[in-house]
Amino acid sequence: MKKETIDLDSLHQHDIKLLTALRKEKEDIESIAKRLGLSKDALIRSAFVLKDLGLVDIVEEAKVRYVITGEGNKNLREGFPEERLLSKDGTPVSSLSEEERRIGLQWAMKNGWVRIAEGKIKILSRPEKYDLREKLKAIEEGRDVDKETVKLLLQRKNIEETATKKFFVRITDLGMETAPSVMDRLDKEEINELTHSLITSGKWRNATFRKYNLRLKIERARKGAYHPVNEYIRQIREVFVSMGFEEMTGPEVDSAFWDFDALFTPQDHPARELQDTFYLENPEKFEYPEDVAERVKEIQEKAWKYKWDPEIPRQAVLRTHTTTLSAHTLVSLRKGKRSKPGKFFAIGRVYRNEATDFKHLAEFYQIEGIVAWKKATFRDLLGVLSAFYEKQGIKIRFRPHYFPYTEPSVEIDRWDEKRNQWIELAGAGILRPEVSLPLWGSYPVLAWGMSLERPLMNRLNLKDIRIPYQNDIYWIADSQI
Amino acid sequence: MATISFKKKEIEKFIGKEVPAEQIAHAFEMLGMPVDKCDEDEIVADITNDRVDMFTVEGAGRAIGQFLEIIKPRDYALSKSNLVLHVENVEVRPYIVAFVAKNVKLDDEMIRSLIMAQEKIHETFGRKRRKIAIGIHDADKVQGHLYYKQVKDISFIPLDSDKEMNIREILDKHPKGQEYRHIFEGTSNYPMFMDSKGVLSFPPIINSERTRLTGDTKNLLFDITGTSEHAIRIVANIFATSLADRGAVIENVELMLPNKEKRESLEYGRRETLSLKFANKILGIRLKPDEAKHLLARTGYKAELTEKKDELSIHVPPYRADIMHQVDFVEDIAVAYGYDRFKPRLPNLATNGSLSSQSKIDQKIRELMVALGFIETNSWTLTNEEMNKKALIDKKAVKIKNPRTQDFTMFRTDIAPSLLNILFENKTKGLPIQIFEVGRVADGEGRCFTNLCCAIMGEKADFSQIATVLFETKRFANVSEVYPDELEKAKKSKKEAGFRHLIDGRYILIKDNNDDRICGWAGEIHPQVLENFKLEYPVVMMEFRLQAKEEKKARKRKAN
Repeated sequence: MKKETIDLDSLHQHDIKLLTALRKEKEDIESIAKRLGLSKDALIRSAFVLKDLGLVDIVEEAKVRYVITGEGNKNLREGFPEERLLSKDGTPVSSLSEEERRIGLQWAMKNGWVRIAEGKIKILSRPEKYDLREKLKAIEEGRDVDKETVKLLLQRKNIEETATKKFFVRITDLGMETAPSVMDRLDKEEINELTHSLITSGKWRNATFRKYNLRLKIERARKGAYHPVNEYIRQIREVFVSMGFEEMTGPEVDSAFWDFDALFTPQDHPARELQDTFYLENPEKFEYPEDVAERVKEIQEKAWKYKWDPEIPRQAVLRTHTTTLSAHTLVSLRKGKRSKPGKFFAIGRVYRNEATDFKHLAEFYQIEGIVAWKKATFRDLLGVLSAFYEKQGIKIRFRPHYFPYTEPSVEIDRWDEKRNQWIELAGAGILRPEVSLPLWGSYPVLAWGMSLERPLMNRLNLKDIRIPYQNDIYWIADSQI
Repeated sequence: MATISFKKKEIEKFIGKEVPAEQIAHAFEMLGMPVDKCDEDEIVADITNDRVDMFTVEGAGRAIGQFLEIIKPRDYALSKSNLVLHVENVEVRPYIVAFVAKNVKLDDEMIRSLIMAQEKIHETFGRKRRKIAIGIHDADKVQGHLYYKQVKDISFIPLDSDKEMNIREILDKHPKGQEYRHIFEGTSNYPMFMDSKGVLSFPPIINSERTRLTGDTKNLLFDITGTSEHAIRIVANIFATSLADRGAVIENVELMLPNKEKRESLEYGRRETLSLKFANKILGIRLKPDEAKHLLARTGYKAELTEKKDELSIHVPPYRADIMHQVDFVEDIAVAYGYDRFKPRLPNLATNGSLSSQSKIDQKIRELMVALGFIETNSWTLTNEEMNKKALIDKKAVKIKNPRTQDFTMFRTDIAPSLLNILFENKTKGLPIQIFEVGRVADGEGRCFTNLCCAIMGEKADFSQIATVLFETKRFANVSEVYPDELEKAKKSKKEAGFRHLIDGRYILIKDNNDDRICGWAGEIHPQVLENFKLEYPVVMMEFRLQAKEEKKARKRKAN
């Protein structure tokens, strides 16, 4: 590194002090700190700053040290249990705990001091000084002790191992060259922070401002952010409102009547099975309006040629689609024999009893639109759909498909630029008269629906549909939709 | 939907001539059936449930041939069988029909497609054999007349077995018995399709070995049983017409019903009328009668103009299960016309677009919270009891009867546990963290609401910070604070029990100005809750119900 390219302006006083104080030999930070009368931590920081500039080298040496534990201290002061086991005259000492007695006896036997004969302890020999205690003392004083003993003392929990890092600093050739050029800044007052008192006292007039390193890593702002899913919902709401659609809202918890029966789903339909729909234990049942039910029953029995059971629709469910809201709305538009027209939309959570994985969710959003208008035609349906997707910049095509409650039905495909192919996007159609007549009292009603997550995955380039709901705050803040 | 594989050579027999694979695939797609695979050997298509008739290779080929105008819709003839089927009252599956297909050439490919169609129909339209089951026998091995009875016990040799088994043994030991025995839960009466000599099949479980199909079989006897008369008749028609397309002669088996009435198993010749005016009105186009007739022919219908000039009399093919209303013809006309030929137009219906009052207030609050520096989250509304327990919240909740996992057993009563969990998930991402959510909750009665919940986690998070947020939001949300010490004593103790997740003396309650009811709280989260969620820094939170102003709602009610 060339000297000219080094940014010396941003050096702190401490950095300068360290650099100018260094001698040619490596020296450990602790002794430099003593020498300069500065804190060790501050010098370590400075050493790393200087190292980044290539002015010094740092050598870290980890050193293992042993510290005496509480147990060890007790043994140092009072003697090990095996020492305290027997008093000088060989009679048992009563002040030992049961545990100490056990350990003491064990070690005394091991050391060959005592032996058990006929159920009594017999003393064989007793050393004046206990070697183990001497060595523990040596460790306390910082002297070296043989490995075997250290192992034993560790095992007996008299000592613990700690590692301490020692930092050695050595000035580099570049450092030697550079040091003189910062000498003049040594001990000169430099301002780190411009404070209130500096400003009001006028002291700033005589101060030099330390220059910053302007290329430091920038810290992220802790800003507010919208969740991409909610923001996407807001955008789609705007499209609907701009097309004259009124928003429908309603409960996620509803009866099977509105979720299935009102939509012409036969009572033995697989979609109603436990492995597809969440049924509720609490509340278990909901009532439904008798007059609507009467019409639903009549039309279902005629079309499906079975006996409609009035109990099944009372089951409480988590709605499996937002079409429940369309059903409620269509009923509310029916005033006696008049059927009020209207355009409505809903975006809401729906629930399916599915295992969650990278492309399936047990709860997801559905987008739903209806146009209830006696003069509506299939061409109006295609027109509304074209406008709806054009406003979102999505290129689509229509193809025939089958949906149980629309006829004719349309499947909408989206052109995928990246994959260069058509991808299923949404389902649409004209509600069957068996659906719209019992609810709205008239025909036709145009309807379409789609999941929100699939186009969202495309917009955000997601491989896993669960990512938005993991609520990683960085992801939320960085995902723009 | 059923994914069905057709051998190209086989399907071409019924299309009427050899056609390039791409052309067949395109025709499938134009009929609304996505194609998964198509080459010179095989075409794999997803057949939708309205077109069960296309589950058979004959039916699929016929539909494609008609659509491509290679063949024309045909009539189907029936002759009479010598067999009579005596039907008794059978509790579990009351309905049965039967027919014989004579002079059938059974080759491997035909057996494969026959069994495939049978299985796919069992799976889907037949609701896993509960609603419909199809049995196929060698008709020449049948002796005497046919009977449909309800029995308590009987023995016979089931298909692919060499020894006689009784009902119990079949249900307990035979693989098919084990698979379908749940259909007979709660009954000890079993249906049997029999001839003079014994059992032909035990529907919907298994046939007898005695009438199994072999390489020498020329004449087939079909029995179709089930719980819906309408459905079994359609399925019988589908197989009868498919075999007729193969050149078989179909013989109708007469039923002697329990009430001594006689009825034929196969009934063809259904006719419906379609008003051309209605079709044109729905489609928004102007088709002339001849055009309509032509389009109908391409989707399999013969039609004639009636004396009323704009009305068509349509022969409904016996195999079509999905014709319930005139609109079903209209869709077929649209399909044959081609969806790409319709000119889209915007409905000439002027309406005012508007957001719901809930969305309006949600939106205002979201904007405010983001301006205050909060990050919006969006979490599951489904949760479990453990989460509420950890958050020291004890409320009755909407509980799921059939949860798939222990994670999702109830609808959340509060958003707070969700946010505490999100704080945990983000705890390595620096402090302070400020998050909020406007989301749905439900009470124990199953009523759903929208709540605002927000949280600040940081070394210095305290009551004053959350009080500031409440101050900023309350004007928009039409709520105000209630000091717990101002509540009446009885009310207070009850309330306090509901706020164990907060530090006593460091929280306030929030009431809805519309009805003066307590609708939320704001304060410092109890360290026990922090410990439960493995959080290591103080957290302050606020949650309350977001409701539009009463006056707005009243006005809306009036407008309705």
